[in-house]
Amino acid sequence: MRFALIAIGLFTMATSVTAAESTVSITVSPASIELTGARDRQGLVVQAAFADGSTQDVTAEATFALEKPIATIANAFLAPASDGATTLIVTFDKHSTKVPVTVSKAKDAEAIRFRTDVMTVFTKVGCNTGKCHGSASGKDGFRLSLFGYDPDGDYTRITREMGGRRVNLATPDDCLLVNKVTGKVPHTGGQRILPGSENDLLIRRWLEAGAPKDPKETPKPVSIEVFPKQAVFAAKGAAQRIVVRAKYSDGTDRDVTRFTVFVGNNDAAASVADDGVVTGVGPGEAFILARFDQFTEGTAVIVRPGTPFADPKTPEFNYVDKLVHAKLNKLHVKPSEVCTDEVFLRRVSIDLIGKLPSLTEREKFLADTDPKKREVLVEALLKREEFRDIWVMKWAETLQIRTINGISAKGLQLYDKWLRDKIRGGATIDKVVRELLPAVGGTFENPAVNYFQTETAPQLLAENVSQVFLGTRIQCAQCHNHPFDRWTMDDYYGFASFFSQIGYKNAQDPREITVFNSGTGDMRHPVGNRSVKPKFLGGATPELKPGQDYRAALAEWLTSTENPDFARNVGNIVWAHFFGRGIVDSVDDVRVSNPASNQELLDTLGAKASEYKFDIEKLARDICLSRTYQLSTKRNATNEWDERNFAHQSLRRMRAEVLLDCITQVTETTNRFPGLPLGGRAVQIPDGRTPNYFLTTFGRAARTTACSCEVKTTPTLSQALHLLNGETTTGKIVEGKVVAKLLADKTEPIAVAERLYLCCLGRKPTANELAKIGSKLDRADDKSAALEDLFWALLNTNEFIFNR
Amino acid sequence: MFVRLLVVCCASAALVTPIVAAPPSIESVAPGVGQRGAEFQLTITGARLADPQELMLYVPGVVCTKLTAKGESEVTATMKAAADCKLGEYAFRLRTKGGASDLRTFRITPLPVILEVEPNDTRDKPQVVALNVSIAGVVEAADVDTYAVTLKKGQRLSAEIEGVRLGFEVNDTALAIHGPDGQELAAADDNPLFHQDPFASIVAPVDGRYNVQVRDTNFGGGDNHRYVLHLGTFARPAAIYPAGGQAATEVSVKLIGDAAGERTAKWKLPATGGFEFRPTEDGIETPTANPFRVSPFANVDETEPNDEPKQSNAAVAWPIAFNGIIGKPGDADHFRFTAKKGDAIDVQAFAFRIGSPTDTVVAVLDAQGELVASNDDDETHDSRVLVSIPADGDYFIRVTDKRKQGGAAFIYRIELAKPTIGLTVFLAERNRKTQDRHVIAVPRGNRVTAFLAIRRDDITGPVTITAAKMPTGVKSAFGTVAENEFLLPVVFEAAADAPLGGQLVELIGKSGQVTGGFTQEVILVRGPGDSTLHAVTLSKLAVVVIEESPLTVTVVTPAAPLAVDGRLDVTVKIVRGKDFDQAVEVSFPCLPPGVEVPTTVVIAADKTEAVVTLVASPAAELGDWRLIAEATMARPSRVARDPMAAPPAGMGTSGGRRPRKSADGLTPVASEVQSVKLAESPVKGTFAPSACEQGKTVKVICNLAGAVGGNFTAKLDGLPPRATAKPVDVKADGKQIEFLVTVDATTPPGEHKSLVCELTGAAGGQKIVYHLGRDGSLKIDAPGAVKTDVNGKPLSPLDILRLEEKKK
Repeated sequence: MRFALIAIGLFTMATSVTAAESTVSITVSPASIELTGARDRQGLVVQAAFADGSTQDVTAEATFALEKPIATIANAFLAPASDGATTLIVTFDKHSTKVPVTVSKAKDAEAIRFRTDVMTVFTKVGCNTGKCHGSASGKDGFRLSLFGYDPDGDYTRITREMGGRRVNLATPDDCLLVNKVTGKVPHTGGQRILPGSENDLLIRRWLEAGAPKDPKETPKPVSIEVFPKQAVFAAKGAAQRIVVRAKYSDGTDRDVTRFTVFVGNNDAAASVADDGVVTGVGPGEAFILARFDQFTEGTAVIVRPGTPFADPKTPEFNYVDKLVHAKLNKLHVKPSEVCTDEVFLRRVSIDLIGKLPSLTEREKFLADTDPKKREVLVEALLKREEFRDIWVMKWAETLQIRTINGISAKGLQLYDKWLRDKIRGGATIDKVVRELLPAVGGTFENPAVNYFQTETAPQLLAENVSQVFLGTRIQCAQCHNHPFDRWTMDDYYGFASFFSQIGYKNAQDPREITVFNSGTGDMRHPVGNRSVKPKFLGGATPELKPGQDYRAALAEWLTSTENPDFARNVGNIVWAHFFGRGIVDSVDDVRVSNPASNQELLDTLGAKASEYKFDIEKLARDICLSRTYQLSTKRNATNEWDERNFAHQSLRRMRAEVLLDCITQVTETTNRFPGLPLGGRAVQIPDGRTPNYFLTTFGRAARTTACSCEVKTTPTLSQALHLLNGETTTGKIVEGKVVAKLLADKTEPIAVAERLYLCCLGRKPTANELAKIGSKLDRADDKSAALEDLFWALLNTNEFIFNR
Repeated sequence: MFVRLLVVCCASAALVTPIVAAPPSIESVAPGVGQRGAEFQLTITGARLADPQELMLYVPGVVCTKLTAKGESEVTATMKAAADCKLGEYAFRLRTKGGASDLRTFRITPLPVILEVEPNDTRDKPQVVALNVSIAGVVEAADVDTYAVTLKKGQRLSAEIEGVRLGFEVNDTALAIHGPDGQELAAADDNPLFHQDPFASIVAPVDGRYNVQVRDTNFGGGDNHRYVLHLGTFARPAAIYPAGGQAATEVSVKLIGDAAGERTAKWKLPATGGFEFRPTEDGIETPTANPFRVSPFANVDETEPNDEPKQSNAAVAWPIAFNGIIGKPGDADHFRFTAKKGDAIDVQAFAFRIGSPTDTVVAVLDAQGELVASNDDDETHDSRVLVSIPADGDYFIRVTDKRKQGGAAFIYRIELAKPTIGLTVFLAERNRKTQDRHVIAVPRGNRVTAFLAIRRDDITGPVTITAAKMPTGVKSAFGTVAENEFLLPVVFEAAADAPLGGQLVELIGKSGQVTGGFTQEVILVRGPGDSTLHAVTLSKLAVVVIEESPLTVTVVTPAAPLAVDGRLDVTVKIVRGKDFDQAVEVSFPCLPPGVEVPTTVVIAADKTEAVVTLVASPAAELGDWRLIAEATMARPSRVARDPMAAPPAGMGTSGGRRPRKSADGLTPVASEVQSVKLAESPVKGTFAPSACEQGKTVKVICNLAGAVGGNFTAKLDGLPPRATAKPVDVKADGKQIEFLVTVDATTPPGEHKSLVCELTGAAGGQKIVYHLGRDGSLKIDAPGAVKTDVNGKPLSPLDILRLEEKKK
């Protein structure tokens, strides 16, 4: 009866139903129930959907009736009574649903197993987490595998280490394992299990049975399901119970809710209790992650503000808006207004070409009465070489183009040129990757092979490729199965195996090395040292002939338009460029526990990326012409709290290179960067290691890792101080002599001030500003100095530094 | 006194150093190129150039007719190139009274030479030039040089840069040709043929003006980034196939990779010596040559298909040369040859060395296709493998590209020849990464030393080195390199009246019937690590007589042999010239094997001699050996090691960090070659086993065999901790040394096998030290544990048991 006890505890947490409107439908989960063995139980969850799209947990209010009494029902928990098959009828409001139920081995009480019973308790109560016994060196002399990736090892350590002490079969109730976990003796981790609780009983029954090793045929979990998949709370305070069911290798399933670890990713929106009951806390979204054994699945929870809402029927410029608005409606959020032409021109120029619009461009654009002028502008910017330079820089960051591992300045230059020529020549990223990954030859002769000089270890290459091109970080799985994602060590080493046959030798030029396919060598799994065959990440194990270049097969699979992960990743990277955050954010952190803020939008962008054959230009056009991109940064009452659903544009600090280029542009100066001719732009700098104080301070990517997090646009004190006191702004103002030139042209000081505003901020000074400047100028003896001060002040404003 | 009065000047940096005979240094040679058959000038800039004496040229064809100095730092050399002189590189040294400079080069072109005129940075402001010229230019920092030529439709334009080949900097250039419409028609950077020096050719699509741009590949550059751009209608093949032929025959070759298309040409090869292939089209000769091999045996060219052994050409006997092209990616070429059991064949690929992109992997297969031997790279980056043929029959050579690449220019040549037999004499480098002491600069009335080295190819035995002709007044004994040695320290001596002058000396090594000449690779442009981007190979050694040095050094002949496992003091004396008052550092570049001078020897400014201890290890080799001392001005850091010593004049308080090169150009001078004998010490010692209880004393006896031959003091070394023994005097005919060892109560018990007896005496007024009885044993026991026999001799554990048994 100990199971029932837990069930009651679970159930009393559920909130009562207050259906404001009538339900549209109900969903009963799971949709079918199989009970196997006397110990099996299955919880049910009934979710009602309403016309406004919200849902409610109505499990407590629903009625359950079995056609044949082969099982007992208590508090929405089914327990076996006798073998057979029947139907469970669940009724709520005016809806009813039939759930087939089968019961087998109703009288067989299966033995308690280590892996499927005992270890699940340890995982649930947190024994094997990284800060406890799951740490690489264990804790207080006792080590378990992290989140239980090595059950055999854990069994050995529990039963065989410190014989007779940790586990004492003579006195199962009085051995260290039980005493520590129940807090009977001092335990750094405190009391983890209440004496007499189900968890306690499970462990003790296993010990009483002689702590047996699991028989070979013991079924292993193969997947888990989480019910319901999503919940939309009409207002905060609503609750939803989550049920988790695991499937096993013998075809049976089991309700593992009580052994599942629940974690939420946004406690400001919804919190999750230990037993899987989610409660809405405030408006927003949360993803509730359920981890059992090596599997991680989740439920998306939306909590609406609870204020009256009607679909504002916002106009849709293209498919992007349709998908964004659908999500916003779900959240009861209205998008902001569309930004002004002035703001749009500046925003889209910075985003597309990394430059501020010139005064002529501005005048022309504002005077243009063509209703399609924004389209025309975007079209014109997309055709400019600077647009490609921005993307060369972005891809160069993902390829980590920098002088390292003996890459000479020349090799670097050629590598950068190779990428630049490719992108300028219209090559899309898939083509670049397809040429890069199987590249063979000298680093000068075929600069693409520099990729394999930048990083030489197969594991790191696999990690980088996965992170950059699939947006997936698999690093964790090098040492243990990924705790928050689906990747196992087998996946990791299978993927790394694609890079296990790269050969290196000296090339003709001593500054160069040759990379070739050696056709021999394999990847070894650290557990058991077995050879691991190449396996696509989350994909098949390809048939590869001896001597065949594994990397070519990888490139083919990776960049195939059939590979949704690659396409979605490209779509997401492009999206993030224009919004400052990805639909999955960070763009290279796709994992079960970090879902997209708008999966439909991500899928559609991915599909479009495939359809466009990964042409960034086309994706950028779609995005820039969407209403969503053109939204003002000014928020409204409904979208004030939203940071991830693109209900408004966000204020984005210009990235370091663009900022430096813009300062250079408005001060009419030139830069001399290593590896570039005089006047080269910061976005074109080939080497990530080019020392530049300004760029480093403003968070330029050093390209030392493949992580998208290297580009930092967060403001820091040193940035502010550098702009205020550093050489860059003052030096360039002096060097460019912009003010002096304008004054020499007999421009009135106040007109010069206005021009500086237009150049720097893309707008005229307000009347208030103008009045203040006017009075300052009147009082100034040295007009030129006063105007230079103004120039300096403008370059220091957030309005200049940020893209609005 | 040989030393002449030298001018002493006060250096601006508060360093007072004597100006002594120091070689000139060259920082640039402008424009670094001249036309064949023409007179031209080279402007040489550097330091210490005030008294130019001679331009020492290593090959004939170009002569220097006049040298004009312009102050300390510039010399103008007027050169005359013969109408039939060879094209390409000429190495030279500038000789002054102070010595000869580092090796530098200039180049001879068949085309008229013109100079770059700045500004020419952009395509709209190019320097307009005629066709078929060699332009001498400089890529300054971030500089782009643009030249414009006018072409008719269909006319070929070839552009070729010699940048790194000018031998100064890693002047890694890139080249681009733009058409009249601004379209880039060709761009070139590195290539397998000339490596960092780019070349390109185009055929003009329309009449008009074409721009050729030169820049640094990384947008770098500098004042000394000189280049020569050959610009004209000449042929510029990327490869020649076959790239080799049999001596004294006519070969027919294909010129591959020129914009005007593939051509064929015929050449008559010389009977001996090298050959440079330089096509001439429309009367214009290609300015730089493609590499070409001249071999004593015939060519066999591949016939495709030969991807499988069975498709290979009919068997031929070796020696032979196979030529082929890895025509497409993944191509494999096979050749068949017959050989006899026991044949040793040197299978050598030429690809990298003939300017091919092919990265050869050469395998030798037997008739069944089984691998006999294979190689990817030897030190030349080409494949080379020595095959010992296991049985009579047919064999195959298989050639593939390591990267499985291929193409029209992927030429290669495989030579099957007998292993090379021969020897080469070369100058061992004294300081890596510099040309330091590449020239033997002998001050009048003084000596210098150099290390000559031998490379033996498949020969053994001693090698005798001689010189064909030395500069007047200079002599050297040279000598013989022993069978198991490869280095020979040589002292060159100039007579006091030897005229200032120089000679490029031919050295000859002889071992039995085998003779070999001198060769020296001088690296002019270095890559990362120890790599070479451009080097010149010399066949003569520069020996020059320079002005007197203010320093001479002599080693007083040792009065006694140096004993193995012993020490011997020798006296080194120096003589300073007038006005030379610096501390002097003495080193020993030549010591017997196993002998070292463990300390730095500095003769202070107020001293003229030093006593130097030679330490022979127990493994030192017996025999008669050479001993040479070298002396030069002491580095300030060395002098400063003596905390009591006054800082040298002018060093000030700043610590004075000066370059490591011998102090301010004072060439180290050498002593005459002294003979030193390494002998066994005249007396041997054996320690009798001894044992002692803690806190007691014991007599430790070292028995002597042989005669000490003088009055010596014996010291017992290697005692266990806190055990002591007083030194003992030993008579000339002493047979035994008795030490009284006092063992402390805390001396650790156990057997201490580390005793050694050090005998110190004197011979000919110099200290002499022998070590006897190494590894002698002293057993320390706890009190009461030592059992001795009636004679006081400690008993072994077995003897103790026996004694106890007896007592029972």
